[in-house]
Amino acid sequence: MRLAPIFNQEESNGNSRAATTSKLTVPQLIRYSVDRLREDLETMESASAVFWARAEQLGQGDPEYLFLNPFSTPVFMFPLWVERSLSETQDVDFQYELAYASTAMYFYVRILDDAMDGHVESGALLPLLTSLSAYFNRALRNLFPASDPFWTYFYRVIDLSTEGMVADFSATQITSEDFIQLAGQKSYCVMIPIAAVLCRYQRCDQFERWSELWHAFSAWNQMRDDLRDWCLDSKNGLCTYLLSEAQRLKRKDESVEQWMVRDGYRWSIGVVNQFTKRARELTAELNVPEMEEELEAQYDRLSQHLEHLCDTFSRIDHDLGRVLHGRAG
Amino acid sequence: MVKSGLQILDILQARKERRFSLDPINQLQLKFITDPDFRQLLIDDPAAALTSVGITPTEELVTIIQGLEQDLTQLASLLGVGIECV
Repeated sequence: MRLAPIFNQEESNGNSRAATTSKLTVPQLIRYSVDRLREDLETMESASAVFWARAEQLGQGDPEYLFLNPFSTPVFMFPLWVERSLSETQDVDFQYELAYASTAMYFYVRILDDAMDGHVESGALLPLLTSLSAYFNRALRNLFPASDPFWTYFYRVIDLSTEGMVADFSATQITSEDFIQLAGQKSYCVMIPIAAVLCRYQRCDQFERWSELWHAFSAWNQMRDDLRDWCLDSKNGLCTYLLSEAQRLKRKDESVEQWMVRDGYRWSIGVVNQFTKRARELTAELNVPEMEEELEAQYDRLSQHLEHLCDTFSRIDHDLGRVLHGRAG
Repeated sequence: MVKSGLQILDILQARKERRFSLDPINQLQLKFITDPDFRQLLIDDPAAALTSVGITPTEELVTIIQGLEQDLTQLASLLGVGIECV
């Protein structure tokens, strides 16, 4: 399984902007962006080698797969969905430039996040932050003159995102309210390409609606990430909402690990369902069928996975317990 | 006999470890979630996997695990996706 079914798997015309297809696909945008980033970085031999080694590691051998696997955050899709909500046609050049800015920005945030989480391999990557920041700024300057209202949104989003990352990193306990706020805010940079499309179509009045959706989706998405990484997060002493709740809900004579296998996953299904419900309502209000379809597929995948895990563990508990402890069947 | 401070600490630590020691079934579940090698071992060689978490692998227990092979294989492939979501 390499690509999620939602993605058009047709081969694009390499990294050419002159792709003739009338409807842009996400793989096309990603291939163009990754190739352009490769060109931009190639003058720096060591930095480039370090960067692509990490990108390949993150993408399990293929940097493009990082954005095209069924579990990726649909960073590249949001600008297309926003445009779809405003226009019947696509501004292809605009979307290509925006995709490149998004790619540079994604890696900027990824490296920063890795470093904050204490991944040792990130040390040599830190100087890349300067270049990546310059690249995404340059791409956005190609789209908007200095006087454009877009830059007001840009700086507002950047500052909120910075504040969110620091607050999240400094937290020693995360409540439900903190989590909903922080999950969206620390990844708020994703609102930059969204704001760019809204400004391009002079529909900044829609910013808050998309921001609200981003917060709702992020809560779901961060919960998915926290569930995937809870054991590693616990070992590294990181504070997450899931681990905070595990500490609060576990029995006195129980460890976090015991609570997770006894009740944690089942409890998480309830939380994930709440987040899904809110994100679903907001998605429906924006009336973009492609977005509803893709997000529904992501929600379903996680829910099915969690239900499957809980059911299988219940059967193991029941069947092995019956034999080992003589529990009634 | 009066115990030294270190001995008392050892006893307290042992109690703590006992208090939090996982039931073998929970240990099996936890290892399945966190350890890719164990996931594969449970599918390929249930008897060895059961032994490694302190469960005597009777024929009945091995048959139970073998009956879950399809579910365990599917879960293992999903748990094994080492991709960042966020």
